[in-house]
Amino acid sequence: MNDRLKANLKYQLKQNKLGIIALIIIFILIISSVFAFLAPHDPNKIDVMNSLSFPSKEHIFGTDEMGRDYFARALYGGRVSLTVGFLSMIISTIIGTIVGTVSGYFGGKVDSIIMRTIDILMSIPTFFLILILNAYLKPGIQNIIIIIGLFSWMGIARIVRAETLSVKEREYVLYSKVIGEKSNVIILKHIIPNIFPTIMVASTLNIAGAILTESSLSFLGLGVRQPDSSWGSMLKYAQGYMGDAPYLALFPGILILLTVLSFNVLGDVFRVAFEPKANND
Amino acid sequence: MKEPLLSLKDLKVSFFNNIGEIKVIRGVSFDLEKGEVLGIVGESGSGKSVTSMSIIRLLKGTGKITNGKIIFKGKNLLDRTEKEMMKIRGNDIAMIFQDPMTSLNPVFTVGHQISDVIRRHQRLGKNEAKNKAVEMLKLVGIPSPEERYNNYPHEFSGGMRQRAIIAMALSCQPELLIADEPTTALDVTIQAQILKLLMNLKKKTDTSIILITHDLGVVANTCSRVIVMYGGLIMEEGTVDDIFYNPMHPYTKGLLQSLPKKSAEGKQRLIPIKGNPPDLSKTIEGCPFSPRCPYVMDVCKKQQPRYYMKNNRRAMCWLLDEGDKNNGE
Amino acid sequence: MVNNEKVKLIEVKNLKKYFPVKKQSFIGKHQYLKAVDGVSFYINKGETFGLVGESGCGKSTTGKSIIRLFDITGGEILYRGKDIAKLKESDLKPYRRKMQVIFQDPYSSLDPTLTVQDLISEPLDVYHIGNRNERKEMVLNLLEKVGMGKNHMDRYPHEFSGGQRQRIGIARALSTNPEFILCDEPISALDVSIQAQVVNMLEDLQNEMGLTYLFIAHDLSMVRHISHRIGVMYLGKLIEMGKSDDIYSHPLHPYTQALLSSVLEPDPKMAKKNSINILEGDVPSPLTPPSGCKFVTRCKYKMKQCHESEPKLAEKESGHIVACHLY
Repeated sequence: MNDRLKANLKYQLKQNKLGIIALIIIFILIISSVFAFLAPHDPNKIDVMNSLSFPSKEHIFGTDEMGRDYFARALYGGRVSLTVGFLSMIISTIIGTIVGTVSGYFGGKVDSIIMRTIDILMSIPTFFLILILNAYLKPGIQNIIIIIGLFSWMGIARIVRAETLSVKEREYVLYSKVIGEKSNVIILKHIIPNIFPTIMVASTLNIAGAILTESSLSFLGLGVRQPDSSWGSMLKYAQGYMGDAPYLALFPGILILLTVLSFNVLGDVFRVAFEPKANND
Repeated sequence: MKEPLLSLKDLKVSFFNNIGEIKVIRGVSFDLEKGEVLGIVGESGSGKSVTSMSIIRLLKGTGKITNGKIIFKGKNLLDRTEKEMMKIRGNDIAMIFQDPMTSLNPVFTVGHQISDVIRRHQRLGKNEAKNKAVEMLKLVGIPSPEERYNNYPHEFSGGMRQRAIIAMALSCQPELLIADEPTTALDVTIQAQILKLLMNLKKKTDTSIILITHDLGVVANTCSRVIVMYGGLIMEEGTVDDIFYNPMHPYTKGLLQSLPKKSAEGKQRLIPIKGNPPDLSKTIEGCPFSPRCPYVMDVCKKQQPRYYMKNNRRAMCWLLDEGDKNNGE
Repeated sequence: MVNNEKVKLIEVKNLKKYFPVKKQSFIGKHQYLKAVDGVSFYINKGETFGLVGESGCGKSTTGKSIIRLFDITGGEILYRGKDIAKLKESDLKPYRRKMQVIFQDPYSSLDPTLTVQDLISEPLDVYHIGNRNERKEMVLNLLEKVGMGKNHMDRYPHEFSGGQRQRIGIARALSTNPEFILCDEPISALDVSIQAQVVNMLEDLQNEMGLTYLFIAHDLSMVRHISHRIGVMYLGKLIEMGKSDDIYSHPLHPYTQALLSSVLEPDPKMAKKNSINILEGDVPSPLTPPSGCKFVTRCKYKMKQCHESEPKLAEKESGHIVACHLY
């Protein structure tokens, strides 16, 4: 990524206050996840005497139905959500980029077959696919990451393919063909670096989607298992206590909302900053 | 003495982006007499296109006119409101652009677009406007104008599209037509057609024309007076004969020399101007042409030259000033 | 000095390139855009062959066919006598090494994500020429050859002007020590004052290295200046060919005559004497070309014969060939 794009990005962030806020939020979330072990209380320590206590100085987010410190649970839960979001995004991005560039660059039958496959995959409600697959697999974070990653690459592939179609007609790509450069080298050396901003935007938005999916899965009880928690599973258990302890749902709910929104805003900032027209001044 | 139709006085235009201020036009003044064809010649970074966009006040996005006056028919256009400008555009001042592909809206028929302009400026009914539009299509040499009225832009060839655009521009008999590189995107044979058409129409309607181009051949065949721009300033101004046969400014001389000549003595090596066009994002001290001028002196790099006037011509160059001093004037 | 051996470095025989156009309906034949429809000419080693014509004439497609950017529909492309038209990529590689290209748009012919050094050494990579240090040395030499320097090596294309980018493109083209360079409108996108710089450079390099150019352009004055021989194309056909001076001083084909007289000379007195000459009409659509001579719709000398049969290329005087029923 060269200086011009970086300069554009800085400028966009300066202009877009929301972008700075989003960046700060994400930063705080990541830091808190990494340093979750510094939390004052053990997230798994059961203390039935103190169950369902409202937020206080002792327990900033209060305690859950088993008396566990909710703040610590939120921090560790955040770790899970962010990890799942990030790693499944990596999987989706890698698959999506490979499929998209191959489809767009080679065109013809290869392109047709791949695109029709994507169409079919996308027309099946992915969530149900995930549910079904999940039923057959051992529960756990690893499998969640793989499953979400395997079913979220299609959108990225389409976008990557579209960009590839336009980049492959550029004269520097034609030049490489004329001097006999191999196709895979052309894709790696010329196509991918030039569509990188697009990939970055798509990936950032993908994280948001992945976190939401994981939260939904965990909410349905199909994600992480106790005693581990993610924000989604926390929401699940919070359902039964909506009357007495609404904060149990409030905190994880807000955290999910903030995270997803922040990544969406960030993706949007990237999109505007990397807009090709703005860079051709 | 008759008042000129258009008079630019010390126009300065800048673009502002995240890098800073880019001074595109740095103090341009000239007059256009009624009935003239004035050519503005320049290369990239000269500011010629921005000049035309400033006159009709259609500067894109981050461009701002930072100084000067644009006097059209006695009134300063920069004092006009946007509403007033909308009445002037198309009616008193018309403009045609380089790219016939993007100048026409692909979603409407060509005829409709011309009628639209007519109806916006003149109180004519739908049918009357249509008749006028068909007449204009005929005037610009489009065959079967009644049928072609209903065609969409993509059904026209590049040359035909440019003719349609000329028809649209002249439909309300504007007093001033600004043509920004009107034939650059066209083939040589089509270019000849379009320029001939433009000159013929000019004779009929006596429209004054500002023709912006980088092609000296076009200038020689169409313009009566020429302005040569470089780095946002006017380097030289004169009649077309003055400029081609008696250029005063080193840049003008350089341009003419770098053209391949139809010479009988066999092939001669081209004489280019060394160096590159100026980077407008950096502040330019002195004469903008100094980095490339074969006759550059110290003063050229520090101070922007004054205009040296002679008869009805002028050139911005310290060399001429020096010459004057030596002649004891 | 240029070698005087009149070796035909490149020869195309009956070159055809058709592009399929999508069918309008399920039923019905495939339509073809006949971009190049039976073109034959040759280029001697060390000379510049100019190919001119207006939009849709097929000159750019001809050039791209010769350097095998794609497969051709028919005909032969002979490189030093060997037909390279049907060779597989692996067999084509030694020929690709000797052929290079300079494109029109200095803004899109260089990958904006690569430094000047990476750009110029790309061909060296492909052909495994030299090791890392040797390559750096070679790139430096090439940059100096095109009038640029060491401090340009680590910069990116967007930091340079159009003329400089074109020089980088030329340095890149020279990296494999080619014999032939396709120049596809190399100066059209440059400022007038820069065009002369680039043209002079191309000429100097030709003299120094014995390069052969196919120079495709629409600026007829510049083509006349730089070319030794010229071919004129119209709607996919080669209609006239000959020595540069012959073509310009006495063009034979009515289209060539019209083309040359449409050129606006930068000379006001001449302009006043001769009013602008125009060729009426538009180029017919390449999808539905006229039968018989392709120029028949706009030719002022058209005869009955011209509608019926296509004229063949015939030599009228030494080296001057034209396809027209008038002769």
